[in-house]
Amino acid sequence: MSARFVPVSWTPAKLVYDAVLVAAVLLYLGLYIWVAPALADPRMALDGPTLMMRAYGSCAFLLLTLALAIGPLARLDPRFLPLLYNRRHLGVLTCLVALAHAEAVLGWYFAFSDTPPLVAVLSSEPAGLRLPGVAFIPFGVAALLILLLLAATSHDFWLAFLGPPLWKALHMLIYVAYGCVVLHLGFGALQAAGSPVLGLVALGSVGLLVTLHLLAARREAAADAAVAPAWREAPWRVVGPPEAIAEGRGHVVHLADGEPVAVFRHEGRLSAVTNLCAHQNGPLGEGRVVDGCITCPWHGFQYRLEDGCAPPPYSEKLATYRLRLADGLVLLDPRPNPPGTPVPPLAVP
Amino acid sequence: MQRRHRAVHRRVWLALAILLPAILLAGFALREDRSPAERPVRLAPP
Repeated sequence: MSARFVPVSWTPAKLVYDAVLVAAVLLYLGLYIWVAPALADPRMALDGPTLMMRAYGSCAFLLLTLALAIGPLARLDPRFLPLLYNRRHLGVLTCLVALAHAEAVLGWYFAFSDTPPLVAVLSSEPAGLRLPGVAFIPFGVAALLILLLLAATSHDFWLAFLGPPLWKALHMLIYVAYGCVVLHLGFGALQAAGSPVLGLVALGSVGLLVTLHLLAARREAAADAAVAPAWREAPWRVVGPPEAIAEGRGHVVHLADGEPVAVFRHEGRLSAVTNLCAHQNGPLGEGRVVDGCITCPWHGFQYRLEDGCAPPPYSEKLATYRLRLADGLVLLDPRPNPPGTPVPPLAVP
Repeated sequence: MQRRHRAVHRRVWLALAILLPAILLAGFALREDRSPAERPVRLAPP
């Protein structure tokens, strides 16, 4: 769609997103440095470098929790969708804060080590932080390596180079990283903590994250079960009642083979196209109708509702699907039309 | 296929719902009161 390569397609929304994130991180670090000394065990007064290590570390943990919470939040309430669009920026910022934490640890405890700091940190455990058989530093290192890998491959270039399925599978490593961070926290910082505040915050964050994922999964399971088995086996796929699709928005259904299809409502009429953007498989159903065109939430690629074609001078095309109404329900023909095939939009009450 | 994927996703998060808090609680419960002398120290300059 674009003839000119742009490394990062900055938009006002992205700039605001990043500015808010950076401001929130700075605010958190400032608050931590201000509040944490008052909550610390008086027998073990916090020195400046330790304070910064913990500020960066706890900040990275909370950012990672937020990054993982955005998915279920967006599934539970579409108002959170704008947070999802630029989630990769949040991931990269999390990696930078985690790097600052690692640098603070290496630069303080191992600055005068005989062996290289990276070797020293992996071959030693701080006194008093050791449980039999459990070393907490390698978990932190593993999480950081995963975050670095994901941040390095977060650019659209890697999405296009690896292909969406492999890229998505690679980025599922974020869950492994989160598990490592929880182990790092549970057998590291929590044991060194003088007050229960860090433990309560960590437990609350993990509890909230797990609850959100379970709630979102439960809602999706209920939606799946709501479709009667007979309808599921029928040649036409039930989309649902027309009023379930908001004006200017999309509604995603999955066919028997897993293929996602987005059904959009525009000016009282429905159109269906594949949910995968022709640019980089972005989730079209999470976008909206702008200027009469389906607009991809990832990079703003646009397609006409009536034939799935990008408006001139662009040439991208989407597969379209036929729709019909029966017994007050919208039905979708699961057989895709060739990309760019015109299909008259379905007028609905 | 999509429903199967969702069912797996739900089971994974159910397992994590038990595992992650258990790790944190275990770590917190097993911590020991340490004297300031036992805290990690910075390596001295050569």
